[in-house]
Amino acid sequence: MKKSTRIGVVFAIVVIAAFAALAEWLVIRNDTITKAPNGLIASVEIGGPFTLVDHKGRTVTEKDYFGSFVLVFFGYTFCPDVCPTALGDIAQAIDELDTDAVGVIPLMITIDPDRDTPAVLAEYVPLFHDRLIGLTGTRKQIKDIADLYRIFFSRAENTQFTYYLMDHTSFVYLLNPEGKVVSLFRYGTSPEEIASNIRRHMRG
Amino acid sequence: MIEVLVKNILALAIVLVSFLLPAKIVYADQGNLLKINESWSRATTSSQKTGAVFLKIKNVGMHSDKLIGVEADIANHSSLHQMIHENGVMKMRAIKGGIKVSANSEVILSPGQKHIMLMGLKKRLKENSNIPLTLIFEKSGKINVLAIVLPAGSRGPDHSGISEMEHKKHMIKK
Ligand SMILES: [Cu+2]
Repeated sequence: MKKSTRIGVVFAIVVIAAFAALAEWLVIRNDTITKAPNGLIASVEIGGPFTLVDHKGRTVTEKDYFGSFVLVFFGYTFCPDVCPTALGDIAQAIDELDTDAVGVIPLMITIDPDRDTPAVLAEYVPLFHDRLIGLTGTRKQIKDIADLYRIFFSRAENTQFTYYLMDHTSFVYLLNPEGKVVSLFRYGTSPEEIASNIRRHMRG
Repeated sequence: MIEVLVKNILALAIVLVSFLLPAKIVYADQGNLLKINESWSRATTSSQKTGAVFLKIKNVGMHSDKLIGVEADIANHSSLHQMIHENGVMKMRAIKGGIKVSANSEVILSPGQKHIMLMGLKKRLKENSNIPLTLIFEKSGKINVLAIVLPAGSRGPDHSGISEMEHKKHMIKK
């Protein structure tokens, strides 16, 4: 191979790799999920199996929650605004459900496993609701489940401080008792709306 | 008679001087024209090192002002933050250039919009406690406020306003 040809090949590979990265980025940010209206789920497959650790230190999988409706929120404890708002709304939705709430399990899955250990989550989740369950895992386990749920997350670029912040997707998903995602709630959906959506799914 | 004349001249002089006072003196009064209401924050755990303060700034004056900074002893670093919503992804970024409060208007720092960011909390924010803060305005200077710590999942002392508007905006018929 001539030197110029070799440079050309390398250049082509770099360009293809860049396009692949861009395509992946676009899929996560611009697919039918992120564009879907509130409470609606397109026919795209979301969710799936996982192995994580809950805030009591027990290893759990998706099967542990089969049989109940599950509200899933991805967040992190260092999050000062979005996560407390979303978790507060989830807690209020649970209270709104009153006696129907026994059939619903609220989950908070951390996207910051480095800091959010089971002990940290154990102090955090009861601030919102005594039934809220916090889940953490290894970096790989968290990345895997976030990908399955089309959750984008990354450390914010500001490294000026000892404490980093995260950019992350702020959806709340509703899973039916078979573990299938049946609803998506965007940030800012009212607790009343979440509760009535759950009730509709309960009544079938 | 001369006494009365002197008094009148003096009074006139005072009136004239007050008209000629530089604009800066007018701003010194501005502090009273900025009303800070409903300052609140949310309870944290001992491991959380970040917090957010929300509040309302009402400018009842004739001049616009700008919130350019915050000081809080409870945190290592305090700043003004803006949330950015992008296809469901929430990002938090520093506000450069401050927050303008126009004459006769109100600016609301509320969840999902703007907040005062407390980075590196020196102690946990306990429910029902108060956080002393100093807001720094471009013209009015420093204004001290006390933010009440509400429960971790609170939406604020006032449930109407921005958060309700947010709710409506996200309501889509199925
Ligand atoms: Cu912030």
